[in-house]
Amino acid sequence: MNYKVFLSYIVFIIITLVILFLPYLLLDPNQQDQAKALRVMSYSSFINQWGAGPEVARLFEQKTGIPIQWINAGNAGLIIERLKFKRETDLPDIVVGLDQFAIFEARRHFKWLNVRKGLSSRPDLLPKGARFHDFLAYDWGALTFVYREGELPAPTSLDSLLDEQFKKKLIFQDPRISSPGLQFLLWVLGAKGEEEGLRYLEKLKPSILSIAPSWSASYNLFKMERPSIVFSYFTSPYYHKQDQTSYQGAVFDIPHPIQVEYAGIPDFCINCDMAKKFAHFLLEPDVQKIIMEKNYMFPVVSDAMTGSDFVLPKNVKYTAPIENLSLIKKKRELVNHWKRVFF
Amino acid sequence: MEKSFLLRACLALSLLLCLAFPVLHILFYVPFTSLTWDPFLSPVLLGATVQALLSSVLTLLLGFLGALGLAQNQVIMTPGRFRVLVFALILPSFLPPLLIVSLIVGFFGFVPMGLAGVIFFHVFMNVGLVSVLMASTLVNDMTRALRESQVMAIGNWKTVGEVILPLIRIDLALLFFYLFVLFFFSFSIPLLVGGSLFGGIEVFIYEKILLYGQWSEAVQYSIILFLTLFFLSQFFKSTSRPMDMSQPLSAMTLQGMGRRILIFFPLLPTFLLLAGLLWSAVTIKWEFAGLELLKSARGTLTVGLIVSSGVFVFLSLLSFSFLNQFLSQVLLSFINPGWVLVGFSFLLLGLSGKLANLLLLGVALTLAYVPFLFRLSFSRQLQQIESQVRFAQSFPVSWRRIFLRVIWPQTLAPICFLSGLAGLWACGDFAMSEIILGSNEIRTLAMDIKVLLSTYRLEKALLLLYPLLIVSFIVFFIFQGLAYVSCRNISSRSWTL
Repeated sequence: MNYKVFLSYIVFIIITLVILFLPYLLLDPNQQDQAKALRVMSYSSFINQWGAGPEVARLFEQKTGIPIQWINAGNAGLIIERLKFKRETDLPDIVVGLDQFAIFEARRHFKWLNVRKGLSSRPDLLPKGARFHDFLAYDWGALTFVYREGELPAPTSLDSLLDEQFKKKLIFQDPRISSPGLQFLLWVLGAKGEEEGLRYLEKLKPSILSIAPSWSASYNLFKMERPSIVFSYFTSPYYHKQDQTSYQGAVFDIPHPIQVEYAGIPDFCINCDMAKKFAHFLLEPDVQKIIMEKNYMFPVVSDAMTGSDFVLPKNVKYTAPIENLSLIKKKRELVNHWKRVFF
Repeated sequence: MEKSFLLRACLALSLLLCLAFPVLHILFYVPFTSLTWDPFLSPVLLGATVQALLSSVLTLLLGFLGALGLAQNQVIMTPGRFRVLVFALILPSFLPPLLIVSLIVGFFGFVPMGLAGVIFFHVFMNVGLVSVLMASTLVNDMTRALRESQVMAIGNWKTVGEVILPLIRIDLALLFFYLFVLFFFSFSIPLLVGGSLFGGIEVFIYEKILLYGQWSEAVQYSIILFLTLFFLSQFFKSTSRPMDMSQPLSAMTLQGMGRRILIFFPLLPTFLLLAGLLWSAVTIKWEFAGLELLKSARGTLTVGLIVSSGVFVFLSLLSFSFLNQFLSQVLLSFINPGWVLVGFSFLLLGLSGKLANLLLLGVALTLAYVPFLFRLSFSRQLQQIESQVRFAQSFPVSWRRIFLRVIWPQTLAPICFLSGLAGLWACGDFAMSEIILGSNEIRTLAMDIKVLLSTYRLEKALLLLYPLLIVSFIVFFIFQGLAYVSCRNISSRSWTL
């Protein structure tokens, strides 16, 4: 073995690594800059370059002069778990991206400041029963089955999903690890009652093509697998505006579940006033428009929809989070029922 | 000798403690509560066992046939071309499962579902890697037996059945164990195409954290599974087989076994994947992502190289310590307590700064991959040179000399291959990266792909697959290059894997 050549090669690898490290070392902001910044914790797809975060941060800094320092919590479902460990470098001034399931957990573990105090914008588009004093809703979406026109007929009720034409066509998410999946379970059980709902899920089995681990997995499978229909958002078709195929959200005869995203300020915030400014900033029409177009969700302020393609679906009724409170509280029991059906 | 033995024992124990660090560390933070037995564990275990068993057997069978073809191809191909062939074969084993499923569905318009779907994708993703590893065993260790068979004019297939299979039964058993563990804890594929029954153990643990915030339950179930696996691994104890020191397989040996047909099995997934990539290249709208893309590519290259280097150092230290049978068995059966637990354990170290986070991610991924790589082939590599080491120890020479002259020259090539492989896996990781990096300033291509997939943009995600492949290719070949430049003078070990 040629140890000289070996050592030269190792030196080459080390130099390559040092060169790769340099930009991270040189561009690391100093502690003073970090102390001035507002620390915002959110999930990765919000703060990534394709999400609304960077543009919102730029506008906020332009308007107030306050820079944003993002804390990436990764998966939205893990935000609370991350907060629980109270790692010093992770402690945010404000948390953006909690859904209605997460805020019940959030209240159990932390105290949250009244974020609505002094709010000037009125969330006039937000369905009733989705407003709370300690969390500020900044976008929402109604869930339904999305289909491609001409491929399959639009389902109009939960029972219509049992039809032969939907055999092995349904894609939805696993309620154990996906928020929309849990929404689907609560939707069925809320509409049909627990016992009847579980019997319905049993009957639904032949119609299922896939129970996906996440919304993204289910939606990408839907885009590829034809024909199929997927449990997604009424706003999903807006992404396909440029496509030749027309995507539609099915209107059911029962109220549709809604997914609401909230911002909240934990009581351990350091820059609490700045955090409140940021929360209120999220409801400004320009910012709402950015969130709507990047997140493909409905805004909570109607002005944001002016001049855009986004329109609220007609003849659709919504189930507010507050109406599902009793079901949300016993989600463990319900998920166990779900497992009894599908295992 | 006594002093070096103590040093090596301490080193081996330290390395094992390092591997156990994530679970030991998180125990400080998780309050222990009494464990309520979840009745759903039984059906989950049953489903995972059935799919893992069938997937492993089929992967092993097709992988063995592929290895026969690959071994024949190796002796007639130039080393450069052969390395490209090896990369092509292992390509499906490191791409994110969702993208593989999407590419296949996009290309064929359908995807097998249920148990058949799980087995299909498991075999699809791993048959190439298994072929490469088994071909390595055939070429390096079976030569003498094959030559003797040739001299005695025994037919090729009879040689396979009566000579090769009995000789490599232990290698097969260990590889089966590796595959079984890999498939048993498989997360994405069973969930995507398997339905709930085959939805796996990882989800069972992940559910405890994500849905109920029950860290204690998650950790306890992880420990129970580790212990179960430890007892199971006792059936897969490997014994030492002296290494065949004759020249590697010549072009004459194993000739006429249908090398083109046999190599077809492990290459088929790569062809399908390339067809899918070609299809996506034709259908997607190309656009240049510019500086942001370069930033993510730099992040990917950095993470890949850190992990490859970390694995290189770890495996080199393991080969220096030359584990005894018990410690080797512990490492063979070691499983990590799930990605989320490992990720949070490192997160709780409380380090901040980009460089610290990058290094932390590198260490976390290294510790996560090492047990897999050890099971995959490294335990066997160490076993194979055991008799030589024992023989060398009978002479009055220092352990350092034995390591530099006997162990290191023979383990370097496999270490480089496994380090490159770990680098490939690291380039494709987004789960651990998202948890540990914790800021938006360090990004990798895999993280970008995950974000694009979760914001409708599948086409853009497919676009990023190409730079991801290039960066992964670079990482893999940097470490293959290390093996090449260091071992090219060793005539008995021309096989660089």
